[in-house]
Amino acid sequence: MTEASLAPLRILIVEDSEQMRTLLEALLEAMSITDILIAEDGEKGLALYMETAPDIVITDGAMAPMDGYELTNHIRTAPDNPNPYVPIIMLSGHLEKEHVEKARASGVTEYLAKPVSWQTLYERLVSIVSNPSFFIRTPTYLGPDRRRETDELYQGPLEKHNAPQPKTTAEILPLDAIRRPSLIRTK
Amino acid sequence: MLSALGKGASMQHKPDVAMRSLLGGPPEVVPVPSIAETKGLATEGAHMRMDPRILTRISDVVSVLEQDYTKVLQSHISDMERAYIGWKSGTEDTRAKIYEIAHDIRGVAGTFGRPLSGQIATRICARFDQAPKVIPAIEDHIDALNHVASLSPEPEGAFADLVLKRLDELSDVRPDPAGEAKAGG
Repeated sequence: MTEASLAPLRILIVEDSEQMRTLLEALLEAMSITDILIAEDGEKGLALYMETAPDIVITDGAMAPMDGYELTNHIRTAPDNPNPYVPIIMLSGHLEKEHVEKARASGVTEYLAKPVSWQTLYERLVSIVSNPSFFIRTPTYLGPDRRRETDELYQGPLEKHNAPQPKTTAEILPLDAIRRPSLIRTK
Repeated sequence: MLSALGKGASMQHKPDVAMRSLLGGPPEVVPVPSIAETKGLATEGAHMRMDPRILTRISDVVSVLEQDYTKVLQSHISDMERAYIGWKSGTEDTRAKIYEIAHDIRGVAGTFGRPLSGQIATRICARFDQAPKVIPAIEDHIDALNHVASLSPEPEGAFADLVLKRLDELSDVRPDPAGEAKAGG
């Protein structure tokens, strides 16, 4: 395992709050990232994205004129986008189920709740940079593959039921051991 | 911190699987190499871990920003108070201003070591979302926010819980006079 050097990354921040932009920029700089691009809304963010092809996008959810969900959708589906698989981290103050589902459906990679913990942000960035991923492409969706359920039709590499299952408590600790009187603590 | 699209959440919602079922066939699975590999930050298969030196540096940066944010927060609250006075006197667009400021505070305050301010701001946003015209006890919320922002460090634990509980109680029983006047008019 090597310690993460994020310095060569180019990151696009799309955020309408000035304080949040300042915070994110300062946090990224503390991570030795200097190639930071900033846009105040989704429309400007999309233009900047197409122009500069950043490695990672960090976007707010609610913005006008174009919000983070639309931005993500455009990035994933734009025919002239050289990298529709770019990791997109959405930071949102909205934790309601419909917002989370909307973010998932638009194809975001991570959905982090505001207020953002800087440790979590750093940890997620390291994880995104370090790990390969799988995307799903259908006529109506392009985004990270999040399937976890058992599905006999799918034989892909991420299917969890193909992996060895963890032992149950009963396998780890036989029942007769639990019943054995010597294991029962008395006064 | 909620990583809502992480493992826990994905057990419940699977829009891509639903879409696949509707389409009646398997989707295309596209393997995407890690950025570390494509940018040469690590050799193939080597995992990266968080750098403790960077963690320390970030902590230092956040400490400095926390001090600056206290002034920013107080200035935000002053703007909110002015907007509230405007709203009471019938200027309708100042209502949106109050929500906008509260939304900003709730998104940022917690990161700058002011979780109670963030929670009060979250309540202000929620009151606006739940009751578009009559905002219960909005003045109490703004007063509480103002008071909490003047304290460094912010109260936490049982005292913070008490502040929030009291605001919830006030919201349940007392509608805001400014909102009430508007709702009536």
